[in-house]
Amino acid sequence: MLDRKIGIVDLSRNSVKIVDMPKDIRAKYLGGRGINTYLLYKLLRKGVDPLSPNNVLILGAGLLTGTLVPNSSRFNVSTKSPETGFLGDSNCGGFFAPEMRYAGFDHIILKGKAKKPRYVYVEDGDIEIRDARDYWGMNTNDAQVSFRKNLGDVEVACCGTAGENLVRFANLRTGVKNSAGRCGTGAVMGSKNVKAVVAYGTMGLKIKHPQKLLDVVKEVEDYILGSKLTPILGSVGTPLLYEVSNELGAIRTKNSQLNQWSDSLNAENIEKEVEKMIGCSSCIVHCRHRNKLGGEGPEYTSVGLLGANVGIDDVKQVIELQNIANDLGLDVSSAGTIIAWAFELFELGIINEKMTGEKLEFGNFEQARSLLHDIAGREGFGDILAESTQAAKKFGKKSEDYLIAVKNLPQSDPHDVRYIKAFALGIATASRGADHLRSRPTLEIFLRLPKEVKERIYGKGVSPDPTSYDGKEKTVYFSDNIFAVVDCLGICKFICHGFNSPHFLDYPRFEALLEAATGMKYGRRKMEAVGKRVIDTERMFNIRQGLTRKDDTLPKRYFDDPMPMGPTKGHHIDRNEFDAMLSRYYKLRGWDEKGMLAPSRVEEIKSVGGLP
Amino acid sequence: MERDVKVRLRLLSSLRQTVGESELAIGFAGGSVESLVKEAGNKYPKLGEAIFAKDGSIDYAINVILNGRPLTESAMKETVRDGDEVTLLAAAAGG
Amino acid sequence: MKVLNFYPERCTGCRECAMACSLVKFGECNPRKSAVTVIRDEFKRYEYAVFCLQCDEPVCVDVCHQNAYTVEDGVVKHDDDRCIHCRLCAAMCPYSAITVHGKDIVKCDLCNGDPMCVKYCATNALVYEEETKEMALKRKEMVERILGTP
Repeated sequence: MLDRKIGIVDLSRNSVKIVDMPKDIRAKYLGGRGINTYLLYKLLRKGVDPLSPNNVLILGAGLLTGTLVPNSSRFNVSTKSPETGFLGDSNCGGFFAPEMRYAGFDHIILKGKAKKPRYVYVEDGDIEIRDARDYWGMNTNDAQVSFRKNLGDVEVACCGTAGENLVRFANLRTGVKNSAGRCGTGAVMGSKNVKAVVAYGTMGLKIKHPQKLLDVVKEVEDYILGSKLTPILGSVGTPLLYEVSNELGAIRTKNSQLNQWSDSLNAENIEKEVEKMIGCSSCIVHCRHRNKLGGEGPEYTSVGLLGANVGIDDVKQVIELQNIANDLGLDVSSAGTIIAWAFELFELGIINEKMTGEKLEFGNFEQARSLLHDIAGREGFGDILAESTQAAKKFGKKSEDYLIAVKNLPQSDPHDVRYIKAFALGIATASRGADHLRSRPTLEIFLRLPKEVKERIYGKGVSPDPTSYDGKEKTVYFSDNIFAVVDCLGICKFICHGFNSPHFLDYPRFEALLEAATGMKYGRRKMEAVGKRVIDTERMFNIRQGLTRKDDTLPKRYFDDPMPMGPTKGHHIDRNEFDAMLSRYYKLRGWDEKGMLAPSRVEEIKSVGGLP
Repeated sequence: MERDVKVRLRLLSSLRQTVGESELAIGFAGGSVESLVKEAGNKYPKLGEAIFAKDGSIDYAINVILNGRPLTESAMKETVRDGDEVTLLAAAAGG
Repeated sequence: MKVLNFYPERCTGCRECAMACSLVKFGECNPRKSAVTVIRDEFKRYEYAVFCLQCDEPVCVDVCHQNAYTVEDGVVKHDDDRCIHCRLCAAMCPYSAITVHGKDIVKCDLCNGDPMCVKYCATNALVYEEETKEMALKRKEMVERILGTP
């Protein structure tokens, strides 16, 4: 279990080095996102061009990934983001990460750049750099099917043509749907002339206390399966969130000009297109839809961002758009945000046909579909959109006022955060930019959650009113920390306390699972300290790349334009209240007014020993 | 008892299936939103199953919107008036 | 008599069955070292669990020249002390239900009546249940059909 290695693949030199995991790094960061972040901080210098050979791409499995521990399928992909210029980090499920571990590796670092297309093959303790000419030019489904045809029962993490063409929001894909979707991980892989990392492993993960793990897992499993919520997640999946946000008046619509959209995208209509619900490795929730249109999904994110946000209300069209984006290897969140942004800019006359080549309009399915292809191929106007938020350089300064992004990252999810203030702070401070999976205190959507329940989870002084700013820094702080911990362990957030339910797995259960599997003893404080350390290390990485307090902010529209429709009508984010909340959040983290870490803390983190 | 407070009760998401309707017209003797919702849950057992927690309270996962205004727990004590529209929405968190 | 049944329409492909099996038998989590193997392909859109059916007329018992296989109360058991790891049983099993992992032969023994794969299957895709006479007959017919027994 603790014997898995770090593989360092130098593509420029065509060489591979395999090293043990330094004990101190393991103890301080556990695995997955934590260790990735630390390695990234140590390996990269200030100002590295993300698409140059000097950037690195790190694939890192969680410490419990690939075990009996429920929903332990996950890994993180970390790099300096070509989309944002800050931390690039994306968490992904499926079957790849367990396979990488069975093949002997917890972390694989890609550095340099190959002269010709290559793929990295990993099997039972060995790593080879192989010729990828037969796979270059393929999209992610064809590439994976071809690898499996030629190499057997392998698992693949690959980029599509979007990654090869250095689209700044190209992703890494594994399986039919799973993606390390955010921050342009696929573009970095493409920039290294690498098509894929392919794994096959027969080396099991030795468990420290087998009977104890069997017992703890059984208890945890019964607990999760006993929740009212689990069967709903397992039959409807995330699309159920669409109606919840939409009825409230908080669904990003037409680039957030509107906040409510059609009932036709409700989960009950999506269910008609579902053939079967399936799971990732070790998953007991099974929220993945195998759809009747040849793919998997859609997730709520696709429903919102390739539906409402681009003005499309037909379920089948939405599913088709997300199937195409997945195959091309494009992040659906960035794609749906950037296309909608361009549509509005065209409506406003900020960009025109001279640049776009045609009239752009919301709700035009054919146009959205061909834009996805043009982005991936960097053809015509698609070449400009492929620059993601950096297209603002072409569109002009004024265009930035309509961009729904933070730290240059388009907002990940379809929820308009002007109403629930904690959500706003979450996307403003998340280390990789506007994203709900880093720190969103999602329980705030339960508008009637009593004060005592909130205070028990988050601490004293948290207002029960979702529209109040009072104490909301505590909700983000708690979520930030515990989500970082689950990302280190390789467990899905779906069963994590405070994400879907106030009754899912909390620190004590993570401690019990960790101890049974590895023998590592972590009390609540020590476990939480890992989460805090990860957040601080990510902050250090970002500060070195030039991040300041002014980057912890929100899209202009969320401050200045009140929500126009529905129960949330009139709500917006007050700049002064937001600023005060941000200061309180910094204080809680031990950061100063400028959002900087104390020098002693920086030294402490820098001194974690044993760089491979 | 007089049933002269007429209320439109809208049932959304998973709650629709519980009574097979997305809207009910309810006659109510009057009182708070909380008592209205509890009465509806008792009258339609399948709805009750979906909205009541084990202790008989209204589950925190049920969002309640009164005339287009989302309610916090303390606002559940507000009085329902004739012609009001109350929406029940089974929420789910996550992403 | 109780038998292990698999319902593919309920299987999500998660492999918790195999994780539990390898953990109980070898103290490790390894879906390739388990008596139950989930064959799955997201691109071809299926998931299917393969495991020993405890045949009425087991081929493994017949072909094993070391007498490493015995039938006890309807359960076909493999004795590793007698086994010389020739893998003939795995090669001859008509259902490919015997797993070979390095030198190890992994064969379902129904965990003394409390199969762990069933216990950790969250969707009841694997069920340990009473075999009806009808199912027993159907199974026997299928075995004989595959073996070409007159």
